Amino acid sequence: MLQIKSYLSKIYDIKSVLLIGRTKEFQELAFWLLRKKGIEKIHYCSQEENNICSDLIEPCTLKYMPHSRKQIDAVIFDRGCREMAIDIQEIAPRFFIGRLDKEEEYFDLWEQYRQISDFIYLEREKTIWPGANREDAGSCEILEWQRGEEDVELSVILPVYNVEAYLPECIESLLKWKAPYVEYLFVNDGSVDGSADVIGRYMEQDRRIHLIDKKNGGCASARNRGIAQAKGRYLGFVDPDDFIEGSMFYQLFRRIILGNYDLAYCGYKEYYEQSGNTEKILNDCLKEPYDSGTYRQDKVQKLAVNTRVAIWRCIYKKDVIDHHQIRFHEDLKRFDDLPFRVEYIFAAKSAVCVPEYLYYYRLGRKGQDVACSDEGFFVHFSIFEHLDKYVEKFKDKAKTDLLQVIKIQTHGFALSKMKGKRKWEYWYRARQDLNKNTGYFRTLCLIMMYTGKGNLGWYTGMKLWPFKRN
Amino acid sequence: MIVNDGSDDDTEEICKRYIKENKIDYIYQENRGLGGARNRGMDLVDTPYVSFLDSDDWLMPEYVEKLAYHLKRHKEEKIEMIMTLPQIFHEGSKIVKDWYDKPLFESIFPEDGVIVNPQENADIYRFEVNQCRKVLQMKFINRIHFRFRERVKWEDVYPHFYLLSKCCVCMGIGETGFYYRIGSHTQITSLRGKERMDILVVFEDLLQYIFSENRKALYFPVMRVMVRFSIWCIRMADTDNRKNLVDKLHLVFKRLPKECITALKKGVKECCGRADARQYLLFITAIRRKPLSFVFYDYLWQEMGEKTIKKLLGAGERVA
Repeated sequence: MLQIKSYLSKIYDIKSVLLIGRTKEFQELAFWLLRKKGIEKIHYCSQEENNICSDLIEPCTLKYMPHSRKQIDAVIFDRGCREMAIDIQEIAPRFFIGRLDKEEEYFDLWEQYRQISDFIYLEREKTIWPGANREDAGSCEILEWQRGEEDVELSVILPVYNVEAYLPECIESLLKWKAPYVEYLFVNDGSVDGSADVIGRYMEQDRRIHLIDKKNGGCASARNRGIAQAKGRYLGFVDPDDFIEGSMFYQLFRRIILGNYDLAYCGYKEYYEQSGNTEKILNDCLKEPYDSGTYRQDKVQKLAVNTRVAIWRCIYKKDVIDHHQIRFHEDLKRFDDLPFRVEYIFAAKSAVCVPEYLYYYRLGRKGQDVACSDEGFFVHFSIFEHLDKYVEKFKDKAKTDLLQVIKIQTHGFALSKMKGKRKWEYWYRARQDLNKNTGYFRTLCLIMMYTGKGNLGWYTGMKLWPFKRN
Repeated sequence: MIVNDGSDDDTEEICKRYIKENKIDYIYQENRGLGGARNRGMDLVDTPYVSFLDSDDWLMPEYVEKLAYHLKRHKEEKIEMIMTLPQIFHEGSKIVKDWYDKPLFESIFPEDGVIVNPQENADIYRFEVNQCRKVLQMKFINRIHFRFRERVKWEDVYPHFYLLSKCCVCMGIGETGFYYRIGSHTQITSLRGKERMDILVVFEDLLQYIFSENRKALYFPVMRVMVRFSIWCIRMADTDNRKNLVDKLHLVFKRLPKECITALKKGVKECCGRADARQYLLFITAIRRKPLSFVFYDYLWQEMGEKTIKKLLGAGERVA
């Protein structure tokens, strides 16, 4: 009751209320409300016999509601009364408030009342993983929603460049979720094939699809254009050559709004084009505390090192992106998702994960990023230049350290893939980059803490290497 | 009464909108800090009681109602201070939580309107330091000539002890709808720069006061607050200030007389949970010794030190 009371305490313009509930605690709420300024009438509905006595509290049942049916400002319901709350749409309350038990579903209530009410407030008891610090975890999660100017909650941005062959599969998988409050923004980055036509065909079928045409400027610029035009409160990114499980955005969005998290993510699978096989990506942290949601920033920022880059299996809050001015860096030719992800995670205050594998990442197509040759890895150095600058602003040693770990991971990966002469050049530059902010001993500690022994060897070798670059 | 402490945003406009319809006094002043704004307000108060509200928190109507009711019940002239129990509103999760010291509060004030004499009950000093939860009698303030220290952050800490040690009649009122917001960007407590150093001035005031009054009962609560604030400030300080802060704190804690340390050790065993007690004792041991205090220079050394000690202690306990 604490949560609902505190929410009600911020509202001043309700006159009549309908209460649906049975518990004693809930009855007390009725008397508490009576003392609130401006309240004129309370209808109290419970299936059992009413023993409330007050002139201002009128017992009623849902079937024989008083004639003032249309004039009820707020509906408040208690645990276990979810079914009754669903049935009273025609009352059309401005405020729809209630609390739910652990397993009770909240999302369909929200979906239903978002069309009717201006404010929705749902509290649900939280299932806490065993051994969790109760204080960190909190005892409940809250969905607080307010009608916005736009009718869009989630914008999914797809940068399109010559992917005609893959588009139908991607679009079909997106459209499986029928929610009307989603928009799909296809940003056509000057494709020279029939991509735009394919999208155009689907636009006729589905009004949620939008096409933005622009001159070719790279993936980063396309995504930025998408961010600029997005109307939703939350943002998602999908690459049009990949595809998703039909329920991915449903599950992510459903999870992020309960608890007002800054970031929601799920696992992903790799899809091998030639063989058609899929494989779950396992070294990606989908465990506690993230699966039950965390508001601890030190835990959230560790996501930067213990999950894979993969920005497309997440949804992000637009407020955070705007507040911290996080954009894709258009000067980067590739891997523009790495800095975006790190910047966002360092800015986010809370995160939650859906521990399922819902995104299919296509591997083995021609001209793909990862399949590229050695030359492309040199872009890492400009990425880290951006990130060094970004992290410096925080003046936070913990963030600098996490960035060092990311550098170790990234450079280690690049070096393992590269061959030949260019590898040496990369080696020297990586050495310079790793020495910039953090010393040897500290880096060793960080490697042991976050990445495991595998990186100790090459890093120590790099450190002790006696020769200078010629 | 709204004291606009030199805001350069739309504060004035918003206030003016409300002034017209309500009984609100509005005062503008050049920026003097939170303490300065409160002092200005206190100068102008013409009611028997005064209470402070930070501009990001909020009160429910029944808060004032309940206070008035209980004041009337106890011939109001008598009561010098009213201690209330706020609730915490977490900005990120939108959850309201119990206030940090709720169990202690309920043990001292088992019901609304109970009166306690802080001179006889030293437990009361252990309350979470927060000015807004205290309602003060103007007569009392004027008698002891109380004002906040200006241009210092954390100006609540010293008055907490000063006011309680002067007060003889303190009434407690439980949860009545005072919501305290945490986790917003604008909060003073989230500042990480130079402001952290202000804590040293506050500590100095505090120590000077308890030594001049020579009140043994205050040693433990003051030490506890100092240790807790130090741990928290060190954790929050940014890379530019952390080292400096640790060095200064080292000097402060090194100078403390033996009595304070023994008081802390004794008190911690009686009143704090095991984890807290261990943390406080480790901190005070380390910060007082120069070669050990370096672990606080860096969060990483601190974390690793804590892990090692935990392991050692754990092993020791298992053997025992």
